[in-house]
Amino acid sequence: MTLQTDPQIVGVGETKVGKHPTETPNSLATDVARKALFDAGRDWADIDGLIVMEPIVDKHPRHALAMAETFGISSNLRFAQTVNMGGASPALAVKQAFDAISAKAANNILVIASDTPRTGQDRKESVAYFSNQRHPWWEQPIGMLNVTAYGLLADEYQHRYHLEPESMLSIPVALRAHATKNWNAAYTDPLSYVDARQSRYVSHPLRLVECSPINDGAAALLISAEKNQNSKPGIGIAGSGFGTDYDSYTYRLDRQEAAGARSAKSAIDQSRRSVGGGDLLMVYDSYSIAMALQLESLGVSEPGQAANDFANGRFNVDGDLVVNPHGGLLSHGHCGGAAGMHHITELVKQLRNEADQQVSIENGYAYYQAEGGILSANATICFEYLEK
Amino acid sequence: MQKMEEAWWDQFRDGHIGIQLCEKCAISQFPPGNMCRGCGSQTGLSIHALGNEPVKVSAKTVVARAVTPLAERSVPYILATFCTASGVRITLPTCRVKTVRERNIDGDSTQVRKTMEAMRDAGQTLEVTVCDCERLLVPHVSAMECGVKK
Repeated sequence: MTLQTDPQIVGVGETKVGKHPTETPNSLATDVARKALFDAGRDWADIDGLIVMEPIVDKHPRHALAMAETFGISSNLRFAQTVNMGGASPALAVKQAFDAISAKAANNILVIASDTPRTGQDRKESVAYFSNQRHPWWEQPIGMLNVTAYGLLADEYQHRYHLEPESMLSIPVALRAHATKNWNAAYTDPLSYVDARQSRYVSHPLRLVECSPINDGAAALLISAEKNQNSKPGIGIAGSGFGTDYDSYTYRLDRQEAAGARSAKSAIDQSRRSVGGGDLLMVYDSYSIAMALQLESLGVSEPGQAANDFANGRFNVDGDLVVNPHGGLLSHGHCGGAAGMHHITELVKQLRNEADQQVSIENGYAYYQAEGGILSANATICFEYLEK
Repeated sequence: MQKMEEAWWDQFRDGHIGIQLCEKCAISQFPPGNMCRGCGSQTGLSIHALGNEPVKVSAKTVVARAVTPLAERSVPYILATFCTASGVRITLPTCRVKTVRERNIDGDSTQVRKTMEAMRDAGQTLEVTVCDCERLLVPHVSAMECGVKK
């Protein structure tokens, strides 16, 4: 018997992150979609909505429809969308799926992110893809790369709070320790402070270990308003927010409020609960500085203190508030156009008590904070575990 | 008629760093645009050279590894964000900034970075003028050739 419910995440599917030289974004997408359907006890025939992230490799002009035809569900869809908001895309896609279901535009939506920027093309080309997003008139001509914009933010941040250039190495070191126990993570060799200090500079003060490495991988979620007797407990949304800012670093104004703080405030107000001990926290950690700034936008760390909190073990798996137990983009890996999706699938597995490295989530709540561009598109979602 | 962006790079080629001033609200902005981002005015916008206005260093980074062809040819180089008293921010490669170059004419990137850091720590202001140095970034988009001979 099928029951009609509020929208909730009912299925997840993941691939390992790393090298998939014999796969394409579409073949990985098929794999994770099938896993998400199996996890939820559903069938392809149930799917009437599809939201996909735009990949770097094998991008189609209407990517959602191109993916639908590989699944043979082209004529079944009532809702289809391709999301392209950089790192904020998976969070926005999930929110969009919940909204579409609430508006009765669809009943069962697959949300899929899949990309092969590591082996699907020259890896250097994939890294350049991000730098080619810098402003064509004001940034590319002066040699501003993606990492350079973050390097400038990191330098300004460290100057403001009198921090040493090496102070943020606690972030990649802590996240690597998390990744070593995750089956799907790309980087599982231990990383010590000594190793981190030997890592070369990419854009001073950022070292290579502070920049998320490009990899292949995919993940999918099934979001549905239907439950049956085989369904696992669902994951709902208690509150969410979105905040935008300048798209190019060059347009950034002096000392303006972080858009991530606006997005966090909206999610906190809606859910009527702030992020705190006993919760799980997932943060889109494209760079160490992105992690630090977002933790401070959420009000979790005091200004200038995020890296110090990491160094003190506050965000470790046995800490007060666990952050990115899968290892984050910095060690689990950054899957190009799919980056950030594994944060959400990990969050679902954690709330369901099914994770590789299960942490204790006393309250049944998990926050996800994400950013795309140069902290340009900011999304916050407070997820909640729903009883069966 | 020339695109506004092309005109800006033409001025840069002549040694001027253009900042846009709105006559209506007296706010300066960079990058320039066809409207004032402060008051919305679409008229009375003029470009003036930053030349004599003192600026402070607000951020800097040494680009050591690069993937795009232009940057790959130029590493290591330093980009710095300068801030005027009125709050306008502009980011430039320091090899093109005369004040910085004059103090580190033979300096490597570490020395330049340290000098910049000292200037910022001291809250020191400097004048940002374009220099015609030889070690520079050459825009890889041909329409934006900055024109200074290598």
